[in-house]
Amino acid sequence: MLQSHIANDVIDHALASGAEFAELFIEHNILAHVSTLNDQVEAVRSGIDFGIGVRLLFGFEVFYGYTNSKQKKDLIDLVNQLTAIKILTKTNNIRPLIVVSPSTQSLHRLASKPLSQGAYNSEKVLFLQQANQVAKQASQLIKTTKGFVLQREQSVEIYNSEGLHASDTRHYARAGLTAIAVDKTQATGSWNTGGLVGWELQDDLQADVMGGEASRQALVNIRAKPCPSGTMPVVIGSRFGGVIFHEACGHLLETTAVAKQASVFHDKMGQAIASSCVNAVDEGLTANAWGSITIDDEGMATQRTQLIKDGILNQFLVDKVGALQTGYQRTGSGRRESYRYAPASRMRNTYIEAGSDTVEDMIASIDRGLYARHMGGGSVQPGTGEFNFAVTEGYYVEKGKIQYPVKAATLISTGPKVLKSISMVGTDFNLACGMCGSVSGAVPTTVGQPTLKVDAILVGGNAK
Amino acid sequence: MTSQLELSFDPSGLFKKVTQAHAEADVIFLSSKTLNFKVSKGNLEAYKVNATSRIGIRVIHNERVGIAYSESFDTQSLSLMVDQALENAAISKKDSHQILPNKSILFKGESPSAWYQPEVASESELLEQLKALESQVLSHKYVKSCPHNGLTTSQTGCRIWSSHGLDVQSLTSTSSAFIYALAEANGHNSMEGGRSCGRTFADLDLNKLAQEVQTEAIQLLDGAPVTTGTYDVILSADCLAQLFQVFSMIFSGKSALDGLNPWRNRLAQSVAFSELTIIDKPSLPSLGQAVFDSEGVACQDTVIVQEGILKTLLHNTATAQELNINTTGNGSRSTKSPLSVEPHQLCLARGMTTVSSLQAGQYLEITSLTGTHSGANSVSCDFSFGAAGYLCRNGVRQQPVRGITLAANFYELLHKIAIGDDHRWDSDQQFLAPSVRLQGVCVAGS
Repeated sequence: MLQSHIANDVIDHALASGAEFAELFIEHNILAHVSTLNDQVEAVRSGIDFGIGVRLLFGFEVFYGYTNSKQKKDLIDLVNQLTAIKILTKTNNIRPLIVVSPSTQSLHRLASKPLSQGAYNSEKVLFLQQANQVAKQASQLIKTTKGFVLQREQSVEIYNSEGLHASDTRHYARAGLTAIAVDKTQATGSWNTGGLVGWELQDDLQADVMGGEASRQALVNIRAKPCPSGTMPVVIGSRFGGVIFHEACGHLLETTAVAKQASVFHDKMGQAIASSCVNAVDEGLTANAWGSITIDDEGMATQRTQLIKDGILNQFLVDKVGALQTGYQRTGSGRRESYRYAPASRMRNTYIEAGSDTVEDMIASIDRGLYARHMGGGSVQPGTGEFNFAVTEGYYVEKGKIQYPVKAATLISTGPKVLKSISMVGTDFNLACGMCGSVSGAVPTTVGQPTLKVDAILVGGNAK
Repeated sequence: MTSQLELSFDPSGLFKKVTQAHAEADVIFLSSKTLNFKVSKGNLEAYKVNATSRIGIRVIHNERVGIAYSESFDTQSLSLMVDQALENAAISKKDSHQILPNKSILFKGESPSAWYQPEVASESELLEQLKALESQVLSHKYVKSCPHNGLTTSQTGCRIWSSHGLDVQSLTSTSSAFIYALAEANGHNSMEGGRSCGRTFADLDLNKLAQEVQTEAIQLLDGAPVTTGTYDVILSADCLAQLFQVFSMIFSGKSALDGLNPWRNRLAQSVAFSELTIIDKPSLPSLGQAVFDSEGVACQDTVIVQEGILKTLLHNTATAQELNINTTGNGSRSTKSPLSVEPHQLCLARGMTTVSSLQAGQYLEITSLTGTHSGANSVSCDFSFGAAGYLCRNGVRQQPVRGITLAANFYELLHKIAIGDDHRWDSDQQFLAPSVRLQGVCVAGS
């Protein structure tokens, strides 16, 4: 996307200006988005993003700029603007750039229906209309559905002053439906799926699953009662339930927080931070999963990172700057939303591995508590470990039996507390896709876990 | 500082192509320049600069709408953008209400020059000021670090043209600073943050920001949950703004027509406490001030709720056309998104209760909410958020409170409020409201 001689010249100029490390991140992104309201096509939009991010390191100081231009003059001007506030103490020798790797072999199955070869809008609309029909047929209470299919093709190219030249093309497709049930009140249910794939995602999409699940959740929630409050045991369902680990632990293991000692786990390497039944992983290798990558946004090959082994903290998630600051080895975790962001240590596919318990046994073990079958999003304050996340389908449990569905519940705790309160881990491991927002923007991440039981967590509901 | 932003682009080639396809269109051109600093323990941690532009087109062809955008400005990319928009329109629903606004309601004139005040402080001055802010927050022995902070100055330009001859533009400058303090003492820790916003750096009150952030972080070190139960709650200005932002769909005429808005059939009915008046007030000089919306329609102040009665929802041209009423000038879209509806600058009118009366007896003063992006359902209006603040009595803080959740239904809560006779801007300077006491909120704690 950027001629190598221009990249070389810009990097040489940055080094001559005193930078100890220089990197160019070139991104071309095409996007297509179809949305429906009931059986009507609500909006169709598409577009092209293009830009170049320039990152310079002076010790631990990060200088970052970006532009839409690929002209050498504009890129040199950007370097000059970035270095203008730097009082130079030394000038680095200009080194000829050695191209180590002109291209990157994808670890994942190549897209058979890439966006660059067609938007397949008619097929996408037909699928969403079918899912709408399934949802509406579930009950007359389902009054409205909103559907979407997002497809994106992101081409990236990375040059750096260590001689790296890497490139990758990432295909993303995701589809979802929200159903709205209306009775005396209104309630919602939703379902979505996606992957590091082109529109061949269609082969795995089932309108009856998407429409059926969205409407089922909405119909459960329309009859849900206010949720009791208090500290109680909670069984957290598989799939998007993995957001608990993502928030309670994953963000706290990123060197973005660790290096600043702004994570409660920054000094806990090799120590027990979770119950011994917890094994947790972050990786980019699962074939064509939503959070998978071949190389990270610093050009490093992705890998499997065993974060927690038998409850012991085993590895952090480390990007280049994090490695410089902490001394830990990089883990291929440097990620960013787009050229508009400098990379930072981020999660990919993050999950707690399967255990040996059954969902039935977990529910049966509860005297008074909650079964959070589906979870929404959440957030965390890494410095204190305080996190929250929302229950989108939950049931009050008493004396080992599910009693009734509940609405508007949030779970809050701290990472250290909740990880040590996981007492049972199920066999029903599943992944779900989401978008994770942090210092380097919103990146596709997969969360996952089997169903698990937390012995004590604060449930915030609105039952009086 | 950086050179002045320019909004020079000639859209005539785009409109020629659109006209040849027997369509009409409007085009949004956005351009921005930004500087950003972060510091760490007295040293520069990160310095970020950018200058970018993006263009987006909305074509209306045979009563169908298509959207496309580009960040590449070469002839081929721009031609492809128009082609894509036309292709996208071809499969969109047919909707006779999708029209370009009538010329008579378009904004004519210039946006206020006061909005655009190029920064006069130099980069090194800005950096030193951020270092001084961090140093001030770190001055208390319990504050161990300020892991998140930043100082940003931006220039943003927006220009809109249409095939009906519209050509409006605005240039704005903003400056903002934020900082979080991580405090530790006696085995406890806490992290609190705040921000200050203005047109230029000179408008920021960094001294106040430092004092507030430091004080909150230290005071909340000893925070503990209150007993589970129902409490009256007074939200800080920022928390109240967050709550109204999360549920802003309730003001949208588009979400009403889509069948999502719980207020869709409540016009002229009571939807809130009889003292509550909610106005979208783009005329108010502050950072949410606007003179035209994303369709180029002249903005107006709109009373949404008057003394508890729903007077109108907010509309763009299409939603107004569908209901055979006038647009309220609340069309909203970016270069990438379809036309929607958003308030410009919400304002709650002052009530009749003195602040001291509002603070009578026991209540929770909430200074931070977490999980507002995930813990709210804007269709059902149910919410449950993490929260921190203080248990108070008669206006005096009795004990710091952390590790609690607040849960209620926003729609029902609007009937159970008392409204103060004061007025406060939020930190973003885009939401003006009196102090409000929310009655009987479910709190989960110990």
